[in-house]
Amino acid sequence: MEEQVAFRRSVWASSLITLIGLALFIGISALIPRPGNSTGILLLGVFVALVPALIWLGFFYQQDRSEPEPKRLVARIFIFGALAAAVVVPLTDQIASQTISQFSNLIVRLVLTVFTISLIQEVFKVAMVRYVVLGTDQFDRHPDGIVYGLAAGLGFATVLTIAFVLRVNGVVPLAGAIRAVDNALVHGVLGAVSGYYIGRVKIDGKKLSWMAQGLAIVTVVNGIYQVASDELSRSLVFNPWYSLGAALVLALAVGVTLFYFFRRALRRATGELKTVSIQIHARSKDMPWDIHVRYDWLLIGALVVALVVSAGAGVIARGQTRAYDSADMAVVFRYPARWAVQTGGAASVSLIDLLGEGTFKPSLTVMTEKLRGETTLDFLVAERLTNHEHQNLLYSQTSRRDDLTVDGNPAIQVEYRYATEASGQPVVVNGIETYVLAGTRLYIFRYEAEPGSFERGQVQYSQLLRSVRFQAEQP
Amino acid sequence: MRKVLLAFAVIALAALACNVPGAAESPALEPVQPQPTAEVIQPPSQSSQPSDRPPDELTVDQIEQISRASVQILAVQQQGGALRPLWSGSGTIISPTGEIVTNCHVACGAPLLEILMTVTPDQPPQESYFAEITYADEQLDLAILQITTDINGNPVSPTNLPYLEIGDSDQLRLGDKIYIFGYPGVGGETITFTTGSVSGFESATVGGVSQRVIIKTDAAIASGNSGGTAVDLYGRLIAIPTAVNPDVREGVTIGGLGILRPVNLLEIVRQHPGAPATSGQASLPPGSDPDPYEPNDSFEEATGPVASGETITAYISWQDDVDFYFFEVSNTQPISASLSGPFGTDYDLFLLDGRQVIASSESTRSEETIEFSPPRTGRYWIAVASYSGASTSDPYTLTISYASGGGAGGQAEGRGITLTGQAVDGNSGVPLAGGTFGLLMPGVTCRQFFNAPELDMSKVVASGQTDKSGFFELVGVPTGVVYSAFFIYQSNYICEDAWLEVPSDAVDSDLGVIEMSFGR
Repeated sequence: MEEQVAFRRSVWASSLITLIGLALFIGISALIPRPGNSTGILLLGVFVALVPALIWLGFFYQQDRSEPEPKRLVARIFIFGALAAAVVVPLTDQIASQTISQFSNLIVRLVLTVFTISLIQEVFKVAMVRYVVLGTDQFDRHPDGIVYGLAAGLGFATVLTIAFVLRVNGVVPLAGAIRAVDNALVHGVLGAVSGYYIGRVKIDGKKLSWMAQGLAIVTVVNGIYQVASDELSRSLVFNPWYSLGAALVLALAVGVTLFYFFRRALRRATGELKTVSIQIHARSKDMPWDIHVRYDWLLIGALVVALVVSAGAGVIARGQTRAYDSADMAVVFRYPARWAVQTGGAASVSLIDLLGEGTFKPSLTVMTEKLRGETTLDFLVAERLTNHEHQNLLYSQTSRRDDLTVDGNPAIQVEYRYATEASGQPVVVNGIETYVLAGTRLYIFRYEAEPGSFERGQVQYSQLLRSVRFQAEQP
Repeated sequence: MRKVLLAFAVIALAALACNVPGAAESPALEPVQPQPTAEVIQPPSQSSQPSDRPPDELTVDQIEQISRASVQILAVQQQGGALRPLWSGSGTIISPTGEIVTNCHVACGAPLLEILMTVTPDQPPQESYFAEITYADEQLDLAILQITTDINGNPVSPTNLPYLEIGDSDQLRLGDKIYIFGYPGVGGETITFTTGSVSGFESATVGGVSQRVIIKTDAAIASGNSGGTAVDLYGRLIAIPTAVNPDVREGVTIGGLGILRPVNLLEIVRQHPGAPATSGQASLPPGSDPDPYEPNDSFEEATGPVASGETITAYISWQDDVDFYFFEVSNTQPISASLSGPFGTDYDLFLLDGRQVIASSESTRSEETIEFSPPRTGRYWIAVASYSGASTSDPYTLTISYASGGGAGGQAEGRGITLTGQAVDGNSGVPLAGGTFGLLMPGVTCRQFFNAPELDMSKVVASGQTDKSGFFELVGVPTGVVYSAFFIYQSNYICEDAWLEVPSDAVDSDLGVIEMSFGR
């Protein structure tokens, strides 16, 4: 009973103080002028990212007085949460920009987000609690799970915010503060929910289905929040307050629900039994079943699901192609469906990935020309390459293959690199050209992109080459 | 933006100039005056014809003298004030007055032919003259040029250029040693000399007579050798390197069995006069209608603005004639252009954006159509050029259709207004460079545009790319419309329905700083 009362007081007080602290933080950040130089704005952004975690963790930790968790263990789980995010962010960013953005339907995006990005994030957070503290003697009471889960979530949120700051090259103080609070609220609260479920498993001896239920709930809530926040913050008018509002509503709703269930669970568990006996049970080495092994299977299974869904959706996104059929050019080929036909004519067609990365958008160009007189593929290629060298700055050929065929016709493939300008900025462009002699025509299939996105498009480029079918020319 | 383009053109030009050491030191290029007068490359002795024992090797002096008569030919295009190289080949001067032999595929179809003379073998050749085609035979792939102006465009009539005597290619025998000179490109910027022997011949009936049309050699030849110089042991021009046969490649990138055109074919070439002149004022055959649009042979002289749907009737009066037209589009709806030329000719149609060809139609006849969705509003050019054939009596007709003015809102407005703005990331306050800001056609929602399987650019009324400070410009925006607006940045986009109202009395205006935020 003492535990209950202490816990309730501690939760309410720390939550309230934390919220006031966060509001103060946002208020102060609105007063900080935007640093003039780019290093300043970046450093400030990183600092801002750390503040909410420190505030929240500090107060929560202070208030958990009935049996304070060892500071070192809380710090460790916080750091492991941060490490988990550092591992997860590159992967989830990739999935977000390469796969999910390719689907325009909101429901599809929501389902995909839940089963990929959200699931991966939550699996990693749960895994940190499982591997860092679950087996320790310090994890012996119900509130412990919540504290550790929260700490893991805050560590995770901090790195998420830092990743965001780095991605946009530093933030305006207010925008950074709001984003930091957003992330801390959402991931902190979701971490706490995970921690509650883990605590019930360890202390009340709940089963596998209970573990799965916990993971499912946080994953779905995470997904809904991500998609909603994404929709809300995608605007030609900058207004970070919307997403802050969404995060606050979510955090309060989840927090209150969590508190309600926790209290009920505690009451039921401690109604007849002494707290001491529960603690003995929790510390007992002879548990009725091995929760560790079951957690391992659950986490591995969930991760496999997330990776399989990501890969599958990626294949579907990339596999969506449409046919380009040109009688004038006497060729049919398939190109990525989301690419826009920028120019089309009797001799060339140029496709551009408007939603591709970089200033110089990835482009695919197919050109054809009638052959003049007696000539050879080798000769034509050499002639074109000489022209490239004349026309492009710093043009250099990086590789060449002469042993290819396209639709059964001999082909020469050349990879190259040159410097150009796009939107007034110098960019390096990687390119690949395949020259094919088919019938009475020379065909050139060209793909160009900035180095950062070049490799990804190469897959689509080779798909395009495989789909090429040369047509018999009309007389 | 214009400044940027200009700056880039300057950089490109500078890069070009770097290929020509010496150009930097003497900004006003001067024609290379051949050092000694009348450097006729004489056979060692005029009487040392077949009866005498042929020499074993070319002398060092001969090689250097042949180098001087061997030139690089650059097909260039006038663009603004700059000359943009299109392709390059080699050639040989065959008379002290500046006649040059080369391949038709080097010279034919080039807007301008720049002649670069060898100064010394260690230096890239120097831009010296411009030449015009006097005779050309496409089937034999041979052309004869005449130097007409110096590099500054002043007419010249040289009398003492280094030149090569023409030998008798029918006298060549299997195994005879031959020497190739030229500017193969792959061998660097300087003149390149390779040797080999005659590996074979091929004959065909040309001009009613069966004669040698191909000499095969094992001497290394690359693409820029086209049109260049192949000499015999006496230092006489005996063939023109024309192609490489890849079937006999020896695992090297460039090389293999070279295909040469024998010089004796030049007699046949001289029966096919090429273009009489390249400037617009060609003397037309009596009785033909003068072309009302000439001169329109360049961007600067282009006829226009051509109204949408207007039919132009004009002539390609000689094969090198290129007719330019321009027109202005105020939105990004598709442009279509169609050409119909005289029977038996092969005219081609090109769409240009001021910098380069962005679409073309090059069928084997003179019936051409281009469909094109312009990425931006503003001025575009159409060029009509001949691949083969010309006529001063049978005209071609050209029609250009494009959505002019409003098109939106059902009003036939003027040209619309210009809107400017600056795109900034609200999170960081950093300008968004290289993004695309655009307005959708009235009635098209963001969902319809972005949820479509393919982004249909014809649904965009106006769009502009942001420069490195995030500034963009939308030209020709029809007024009296409420637009949905979008901004595409990296792989992200934002789109808002009914975002911008442009009242019917709106004038050119600045939307100011648009602070935006992308999703998570």
